[in-house]
Amino acid sequence: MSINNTRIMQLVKLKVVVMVLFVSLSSFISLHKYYVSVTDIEYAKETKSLQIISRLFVDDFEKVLQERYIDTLSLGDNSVDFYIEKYFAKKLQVNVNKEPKQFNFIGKEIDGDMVHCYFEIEEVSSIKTINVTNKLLFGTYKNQQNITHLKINDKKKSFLFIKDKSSGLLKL
Amino acid sequence: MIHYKHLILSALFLFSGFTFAQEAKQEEREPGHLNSNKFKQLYQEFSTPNQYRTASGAPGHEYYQQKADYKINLELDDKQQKIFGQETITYTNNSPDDLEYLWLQLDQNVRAKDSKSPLRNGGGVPAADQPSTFVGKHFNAPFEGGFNIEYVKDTNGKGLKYVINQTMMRIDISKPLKAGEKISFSVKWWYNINDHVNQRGRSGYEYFEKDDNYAYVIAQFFPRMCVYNDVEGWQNYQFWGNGEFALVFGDYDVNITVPADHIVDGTGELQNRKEVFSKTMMNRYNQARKSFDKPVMIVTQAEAEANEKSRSAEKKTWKFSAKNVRDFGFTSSRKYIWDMQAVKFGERTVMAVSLYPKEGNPLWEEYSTKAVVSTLKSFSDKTFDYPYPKAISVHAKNQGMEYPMICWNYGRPNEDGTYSDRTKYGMISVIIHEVGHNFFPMIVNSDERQWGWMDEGLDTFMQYIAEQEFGEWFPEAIAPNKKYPSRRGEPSKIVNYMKGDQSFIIPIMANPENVYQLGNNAYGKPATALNILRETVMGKELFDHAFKTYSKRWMFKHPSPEDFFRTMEDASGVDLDWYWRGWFYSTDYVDIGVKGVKKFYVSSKPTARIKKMMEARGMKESDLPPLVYMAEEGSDDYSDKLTKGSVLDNSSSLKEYMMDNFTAEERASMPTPKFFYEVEFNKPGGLVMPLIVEYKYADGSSEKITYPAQVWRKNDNEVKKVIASEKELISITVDPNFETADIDVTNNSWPKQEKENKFKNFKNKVKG
Repeated sequence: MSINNTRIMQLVKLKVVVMVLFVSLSSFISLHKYYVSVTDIEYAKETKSLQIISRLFVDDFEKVLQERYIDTLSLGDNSVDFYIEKYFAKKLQVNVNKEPKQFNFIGKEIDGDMVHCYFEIEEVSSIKTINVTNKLLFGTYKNQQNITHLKINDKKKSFLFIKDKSSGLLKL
Repeated sequence: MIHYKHLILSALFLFSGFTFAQEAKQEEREPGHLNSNKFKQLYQEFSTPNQYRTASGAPGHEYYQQKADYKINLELDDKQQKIFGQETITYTNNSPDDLEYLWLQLDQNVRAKDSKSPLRNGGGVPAADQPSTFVGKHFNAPFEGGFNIEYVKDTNGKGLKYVINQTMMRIDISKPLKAGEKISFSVKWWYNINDHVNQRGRSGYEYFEKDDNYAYVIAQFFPRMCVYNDVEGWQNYQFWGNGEFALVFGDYDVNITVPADHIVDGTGELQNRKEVFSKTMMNRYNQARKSFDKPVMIVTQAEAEANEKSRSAEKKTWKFSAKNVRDFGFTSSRKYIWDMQAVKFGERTVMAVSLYPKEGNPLWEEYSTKAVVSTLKSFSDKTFDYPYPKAISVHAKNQGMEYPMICWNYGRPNEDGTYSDRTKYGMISVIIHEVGHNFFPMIVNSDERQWGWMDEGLDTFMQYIAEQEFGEWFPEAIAPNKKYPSRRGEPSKIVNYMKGDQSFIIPIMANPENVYQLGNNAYGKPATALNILRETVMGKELFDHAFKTYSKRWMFKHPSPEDFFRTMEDASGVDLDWYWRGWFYSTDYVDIGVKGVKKFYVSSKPTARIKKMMEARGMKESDLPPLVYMAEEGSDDYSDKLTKGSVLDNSSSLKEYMMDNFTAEERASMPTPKFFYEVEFNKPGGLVMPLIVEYKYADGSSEKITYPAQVWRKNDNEVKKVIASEKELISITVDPNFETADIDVTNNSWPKQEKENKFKNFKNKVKG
C-alpha cells in the first residue's frame, strides 16, 4: 500500500524529529492531505542580519493568495511577489529585543511542489530575545502546522505552531 | 651484502610500525575482541541454507508451497453497506508435514469492537488537541466492524470446531491433514463495510452526498488461508494494521451480486460478460481489445452521470475467475466511468483498465490508463512479462492500495476540475506504485506481514525507474519538466532521514509494526539503497541481470530476505554482504570526507622520519641500500631547491637506478611524476561505501577515481592514498555527483570550501 499518515502525525508532536518528519510528510505517498510549512530563521553575524526562508506547499499557498487577493494569481508569475510580501507582512511577525522588525522580501523560488520564500531583516547587531509569531495559512486551513526553526549564534530552537498557539520566544 | 640490506630494510619498514606499538603497550595489554569487520560475511545473520532454500538464493530442490482454491458467492448490500459471503476453500498440503489444524486470517477483525489494534499504541495526554482531532479521538461511537462468522462446515455439512483469536481463526479438523492431501470446507459470514475516507482502512466505501451514491473498493472481505511454509510454520503474526498480508496462491471463482445498475470489476477474468454488459459496451470492449495506442471508453462520463440517478431494484451477478493469484479485490458503483486499452506481451493481449467517478475527471481520463500501460512495460522489462490478463486502476479518495490485477489510487481534482501539479504527479506516481505492486508482492510474493521493505522497497525502487521512463515516453505529459519529478529514489532525497535522530530510526530489517517512520524505513531507504547499488556500486548491467534473476526465480513463490540478498550476489558475482549489513541491518549513514593533503618532494637526503627509525635500530646511513626519500613540504627536510629540477635530479639513487635499468629512449617515454601528495580520507559515518574522488589539476584537467568500498576493510576510519602526478593538484572532491547519500558534504572538499549558505546563494542569484 502507500503510506498512512496518522503514525507520522503522532510523531510531529516530537520536536526533536520535526525536520526529519517534514521530509517524510512531503513524500508523495500519503493518504491524508496534511498542511505543514517550515520556516528557518537564522542569524548571520557577518551581515548582521536575520535570514528567513519559508517553505510552503505551492497549491496551499496559491489558494490562500487567490482567496485573499486576486483569484487568478499564480505563484509562477512575477507579479505575485507584491502579494507574497503583503501576506507575509501580515502573518509572520518577528520581534527582536521586543521590537517589531520590518523585513525585506528577497524573492521566491519553486522547488517541486514547494515554494521557498526569502526574507531578510537587516541591521540587527545584538539579540537578547527573539519572538516569532507565525500565522501563515492558518486562516484557510484549520489543521495547518507551521514548523519554525530558530538558529541564533550557537543556540537552536524549534517550534511547532498551530492556530491556537502561534508564537514563541527564544531568550539568549 | 645487498641481500642483507634488503632484509634490514624490510624489517625497518614493514614491521617497525607494530613493533613500536607493541613495545609501548607492553605495560597495559588490551583485551581481545570479536570480528567486527564491516566486510565480515553474514553467516550469523542469514539462516542456514537447506533443501527448501539454497545458498545461491534460489528455491531448493524440495521447495514447496501450499495451495488454496476459493469458490466464493458474495452479495453487496448497497442499502446497508454490508457484505454477505459464503465460500468453499480447497486447501492442498504440499508440505512434507502433517497439519493438525488450519489457520485462517480474519483481517476485517482489525475493525471489530474488541480489536486490540487501536490499543497497541502508547501516548499520554497532549498539551492540547485541535478540536477536530479531539472529537475524532473521544466522541466517535465504536464501529460495528469485523467478521460475523455464521458457520464453518466440512463437505458433509457437518460443523467444524473453530476458535477465533483476534484477526486469526483456527479450524480444528477431525484428523490431521497429511502431506500431499487436500481438504475442503465452507465458511459463511457477513460484515459491515467501513467508510474508508473517514475511518481509513485498505478497503471500504466512499459516500457521495451530492448524488447519494456509494463507491466500493472491497478487499480482505473473506476468511483467507494463512501461509504455512518452511520459514514461519503457520504465519502467526496477527494483523495489527501496519504489516500487510502473507497469502497463499490459488485459483479463485468469485460470483459477486450487486444492484443491476452497478459497474463491477475485480481480480480475474469476467466469465459472463454477455450477461452483464450492454450491446454497446460489448462492442466497445471488442474495440478496446484491439486498441494498443489509446484507451477506449466502455462507459462514458455522460453515461456514468445518467447511471448515477438510477436506482435499480434488480440484481446482477458478475462472475470472475482468476488463476494463480494470492488474493482477490473488486470495486462496484453506479458512478463509474470505464476505459480500457490493450497492451501486447509476446502473443498475449493484456488489458490496462481504469474506473473512476466523474469526480476524478478531467485528470483520470487523461492519465490513469496511460500510467497503467507504462508501468506494465517498465516493470516487465526489468522482471518478467506481466503474466495476468489485466491490470486495473480504480480511483478512490485518499487510497493507495494494491491487490492482484487491481488497485485503488488517490488523486482528485478540485470541484471545478482544476488540479495542481502536486495532485497530478501524486496521482501518476501512486498509480505506477500500486500497479507495480502486481510484480512485488502479488507475483514475487514476499511476506509483507514480516517484511514491509521486500515489497514496498523493491516496488518503490522500480517506481523510480518507471517514473523516469514515463517521463521519457510521454514528454508532453510532464512538460515543462524535462524529467519526471520523482519524490524518491535519488540519493540526496534520503539524506534527511538518514542523518536524523537515531532514536527514531530502526534498521530496514525490522517488522513494519515496530518501525518509526514506515515511509522512509520500508519505502524510501531500501529504494534508495537499491538505486545506489545499481548506479554506483554494481553498475546497471550486473544489477539488472541479478534483479531479473531474483524476480524470475521467485515468480509465484514466497521469497525470504536472504533469497533476495543471496540471489543478487550469486547472479552478479559481487559480494554484497557488507552492503546488506550496512544499509539493511544497521542504521549507519554515509559520511566520507577528505581530512588533509600533504605535499612531498623526492630527496636524496634521509628525512627526519627515517633517521628516527635508524636511530631506534642503531643503524647508520651506510647500512641502508639506495633509497628514495620523500620530504614533506614545510618540514625540516624540505628546501625550495627540491621544487626545482626533475625527480631524477633530486634523487641520486633514483637516477642511478634508471640509468642502470633503462635505455635513454625508454627513459624518455616514461612518465615522470613531479608532484607527490598524500591524501588522507576519513569516514565519520559508519557505512562503508566506494570512495569516489575527483582530482582537479592546475592545467584544468581532472580525473575521477572510484576506490572500491573494500578500501575501508582494514581501517574503518581513515585511509591514505598517494597521488603521483606530472601536474599540480589544486582540488579534491569526494562524491562530486552526490551518488552516495553522504549526509554531510561540508567535509567533502580540499581545500575546504565555505559552507553552502542557501540564503546567501539565493540572494546573490537574485541580485544577479
